[in-house]
Formats: sequence, C-alpha cells, structure tokens
Amino acid sequence: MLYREAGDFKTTYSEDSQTFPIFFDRMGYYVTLLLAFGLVPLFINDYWANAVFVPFLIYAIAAIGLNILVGFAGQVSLGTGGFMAVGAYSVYKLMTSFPDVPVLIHVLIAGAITAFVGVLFGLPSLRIKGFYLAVATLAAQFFLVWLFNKVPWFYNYSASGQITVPQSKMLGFYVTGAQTSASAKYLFCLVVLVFVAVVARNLTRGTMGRKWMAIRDMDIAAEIIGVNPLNAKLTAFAVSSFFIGIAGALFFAVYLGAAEVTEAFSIQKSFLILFMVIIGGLGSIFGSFAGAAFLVLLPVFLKNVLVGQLGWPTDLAAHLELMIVGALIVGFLIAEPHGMAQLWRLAKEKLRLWPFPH
Amino acid sequence: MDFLNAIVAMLNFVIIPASAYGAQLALGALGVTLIYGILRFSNFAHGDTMAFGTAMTILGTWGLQSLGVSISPLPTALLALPFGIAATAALVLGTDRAVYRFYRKKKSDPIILVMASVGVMFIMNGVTRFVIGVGEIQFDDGVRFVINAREFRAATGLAEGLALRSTQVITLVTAVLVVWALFWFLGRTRTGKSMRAFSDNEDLALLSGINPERVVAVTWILAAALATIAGTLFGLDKSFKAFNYFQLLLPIFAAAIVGGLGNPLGAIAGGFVIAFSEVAVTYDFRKVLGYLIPGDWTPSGPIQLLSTEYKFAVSFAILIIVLLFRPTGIFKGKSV
Repeated sequence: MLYREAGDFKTTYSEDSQTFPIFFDRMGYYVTLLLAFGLVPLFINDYWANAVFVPFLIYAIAAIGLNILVGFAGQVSLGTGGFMAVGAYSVYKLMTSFPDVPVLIHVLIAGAITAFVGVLFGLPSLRIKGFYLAVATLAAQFFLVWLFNKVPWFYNYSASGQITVPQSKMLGFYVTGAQTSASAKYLFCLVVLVFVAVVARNLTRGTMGRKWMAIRDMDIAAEIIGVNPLNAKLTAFAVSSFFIGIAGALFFAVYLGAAEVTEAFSIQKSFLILFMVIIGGLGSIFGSFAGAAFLVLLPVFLKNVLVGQLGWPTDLAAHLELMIVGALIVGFLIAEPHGMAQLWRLAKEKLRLWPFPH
Repeated sequence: MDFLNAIVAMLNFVIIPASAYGAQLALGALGVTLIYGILRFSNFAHGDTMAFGTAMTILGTWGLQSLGVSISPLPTALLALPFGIAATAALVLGTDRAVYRFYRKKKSDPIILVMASVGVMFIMNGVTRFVIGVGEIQFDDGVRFVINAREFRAATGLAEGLALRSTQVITLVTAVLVVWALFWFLGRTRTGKSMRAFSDNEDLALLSGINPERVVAVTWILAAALATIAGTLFGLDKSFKAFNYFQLLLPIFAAAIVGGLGNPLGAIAGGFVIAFSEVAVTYDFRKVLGYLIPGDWTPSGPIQLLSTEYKFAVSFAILIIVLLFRPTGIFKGKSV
C-alpha cells in the first residue's frame, strides 16, 4: 500500500515530470541524502572512509561518466583510466600553479580539460564503431599514460615521477593533503557526486540524452530524423570525459594524495569502471551507483572473508577475485544484460502490485 | 668489408629478432582472425588463452623432465606441446559451451560477445595464475645458440658478430610448418572448406548442410592450438610471465586488424608488418650507419626514430592509421 502512484495527484507539469514521481521514492531519496550528509560524517573514521566510502563516491562519478558514453550513447570506451589520468594531472598542475584558488574550482576546470581531450579522442568515433572504436580508445589509454610518464612538465620535474597533492583548505577545513579528516574527504566527494548525478540525470532525460539514445539504438535512423551524429557523439564524449576527469581529479587529490600514472591509472582501471557500468546496468544512473558500490565492496568483503576468516594467502585471494569478477561479468551478460539496475526495476514493479498481484 | 659488416649488424639486431617476433605475432593473429571469421567477434581472451596454453605446456615440460625424457638439443617443451594443446582445447571448448554458445543462439551484438570475452579473459587470467603463479619462468632447456657471435667472428673475420639463437630458428621453422598445415587444412580438407564456406556466407553454408556446431568446435580447437604454439614459442624465446601475454594481446590485435580481420593471409602479413616496424623504428641505427658512412661523418648521437619505450606506440600508431584510412586492412578483410 506504500508504493503507489495512485492517489498521488499532480497539478503542474513540473510535478508530473520530476525525477521521482512516486511519493515513496521521493522520500527514500531525501532520506538517503539526509543520512549521507547528516549522519555518516559524524561516524565515519579513516578505515571506512579510505576502504569504502571515498572510493565508492569517486568510482560512482567515473561510472556515471562512462555510462553516459557506453550506456546512453553506445560508444564503447576502454580509455577511462587515461582520461582519469588527464583529470588528475590537470588538477595537479592547476593546484601547483594557482595555490590560492579553491580546489573545487580546480576540480571543475580539470573536468573541462578532460572534456576537451575526450572530444579529441572521440573524433575517430565518427568514422569507426564497435570493436574498432574500443581499440582506438585503448590506444588513447596507452598514449595518455605514456605521455604523463614521459613528459616531465606534467609532474613538475619531480625526481620520482610521482605527483603529490599540495595541502589546501576550503571553508576553513583541509580537503586535500595529509591533514585532511575522514569526514572532510567524504563530504567533499559527496557534494561533487550529488552535483554530477543531478546533472547527469537531467541531461539524460532531456533532448541531449534522447539524441544519444537515438544514436545508440540506430545511428542511421537517428540521422534521418534529424539528429546530428557529429554533435551527439562529440557531446557524449565531452560530457562523459568531463565527469571522468572530475573523478580522476578527486581520485588523485582527495583519495590517493600521491599517484604514479602507470600504477594508479592503468588499463585495469579502465576495465574496472567498464565492469561497474556493465554489472550496474548500461543506460542507468542508478546502475552506476549500484555497480560502483558492488565492485568497491566485493574486494573488501573477499579480503575480510578469505584472508581474515579462512586465513588464505593474500595472492590466492587476489587471483580468486579476478576470477569472480570475470565470472560475474559473463553471468550478468547472460542472465541479466541490463545489470543490477534492471533487478532493482523489477523489484519495484513487484512492489507496486504487492500485496495484491492482480 | 664494411658493407658486409653493416649487413650482419642489420641481420643481427633487426631482421632476425623481428622475424622471430613477427612469426609469434602472426600465429597469435591467425587465431584471432579465425575466431573473427567464424564466430564474428574479437576474442579479448586470446592473450590469456596463450598464457594458459603455455602454462600447461610448461607443466608438461616439467613432467617430462622429471621422467628424464628429453629431445636435446631441442627444448623439451616442443614434446610437451600436444599436451598443452589438448588441455587448452578442452578449456576453450568448455568456455564456448558455457558462455559463447548462449550468445550465438541469441544472435547477440558482436560488442556483447566482446565484453563477454573480456570477462572470460579475467577468468582465464585467474586460472593461469592459480596454476602457475605470477613469477617469471624460464623453461627453455635446449641448446642456446645455433651460431655464436664469437664463432661467427672467428670464422668470417668480420668485426661484427652474428648470433642466431636456437629458439629463433625453432620459432621460424615451427611457424612455417604450422602455417603450411593450416592452409592445407583450410584449402584441401572437407572440414576446412566447410569452415571457409561458413565464414564467407553463414546462411548459405547452413542451407548446404554444414553443421555449425562442428565448424565452431573445430575453429576453437584450431585457435587453441595456434594460441598454445604461439605462446610456447614466445615463452621459449623470451620467458614466461602471465602478464606479458596480456600485453601481447595488443600487438596481436594490431596485426590482425592491419592485415584485415578474418583473412588468414592478412594476419601473417600483419604480424610481420607490426614486428618489423616495432623493431626497426626503435632500433639505434648508428652502428649500421657507422659501417656505411666514412668515419668522421658518423653521427655521435643515437640514430633512432623513437626510443624503446615507444614500442607499443608504434603498433598503435599503425593501427589507428589503418583504422582511419583503410578500415578493412591491407588485405581485404571484413569491416564492422
């Protein structure tokens, strides 16, 4: 009786077309936001922040970005790690060049720079599709990682080749650097994530999102009804890379603190985020959250169970993790190609009829 | 004499290593291209299939060594190859049954199959690491050199030595034999012909009574055999390390695409194109030029187009150029 649109009368268009039209959903959303902003920061400690919450928030941003490209616009990309590296190195260069500007602005500018790079590497998508595009973006991944490794200007000629984040404050609190508290890290990422999710949600249900989906479903038909493929594909690359760049900037500045490009932004990262999108659900913002949460929690869970409880050696557990992730990908593609988001959708459909199934 | 020296240096540092590497790439690319021709998707798991096959061959080698069997001066691994091939074939037929057949029945998009193969890649990677670990393994127990640099210098009186490692010779000989056998199989036998028919036009092949499951099974077995042989040759030439095979996937894809996906001849040509450009572009030609140009004109710095770290960049640059300007590859393959 709780989860119904019946009896929930809408009197304006904006009420009718809101993101969560069902009252129960809306309340759930507000309660989640309230818990996330109000309750979690009070109890969070360093272990939870570093092992679960901060990586989840950052990967969710990256997964939303990649989902826009793969799930909504249908352009497969394996260059996510490289684009995250662009975000990370831009934010590093910006923070060291203009230390007085608040770091949030730097993060957004880093996103914009990544968007530009993404468009550049998206240009081949106008000529090639599918698997060939995947290989071309793979080339972007290797090229970008190589570039940040080879050109010393990007890491300010530091001897180790590493980039280390300078300390910076926002509103009187440290948000980057060694003295940052767990709750500050968490809140900073959360604010950005909420911003990204709201923007992504509204973009994907507007004109732009429909153009992307039209290109994804059948590019020739989309072209005939007046969608400009050049525009649609390049905006998808730009928006997606913007988000991925933000994620990369946060990953370096807030989460890692110091990074080395071949380690932090390798091809593994690209695969990881692609898997989040596939397992979570292609073409769904909620799916990006679900996939990110799942793949962040899985290693923590496996580590605690296998290494902590059963006393397995760590490398054996790491191999098993690889196999489990691979099996999950295959399993999800066979059993539920739309991922966890579809499971959630089905559960909600059931709930709408419950307890009277007819 | 200087001219001869230049030729020997060229042979030693460019032509021989590139030919051996090219043969390994060509064998790998043949597997990718066969799968693409018959099953119509690009198998990301091929690199890890190679790793698994090599791991199995190494296990076989160890078994034979402990039994005291050896075929010296050749490496024992060659004797263990059939075992490796059989194990790998069983594995890929198992994955085909469990994973790919489902999508084939459903006629899924190729890109879904590609993603599934990425999942399979992770599983195989995990299996290989379980079986043999992540460390570096040397399993070449044959004679190291056919021609030794010092002996060559003594015999010919040239200043430049020529070293020909036995693994390089084995690689080339095996590759030629395998390619010959493969082409004979595809061109002369009934099964091979039915495979070609299936690749050319699936519907017509089905109409004429070709059993698709049989064709697919034979393709997987061939791919497993090619992968195991390529992987073992690569492992004998360099050394075995699971992660290296994942990296090998990229030049192999480049080779298959450059040659034209689905075209076996193209895969071989592509393998050599990629290998020769990788080696030639990153080789320091100062030594060769030093013999050709009169003494004081010899440049002091290295004459390299690109430094060695660019190795990967080379195959990708070629790949991108081919994709943009001739998406079907050098020999006409299929374009997606």
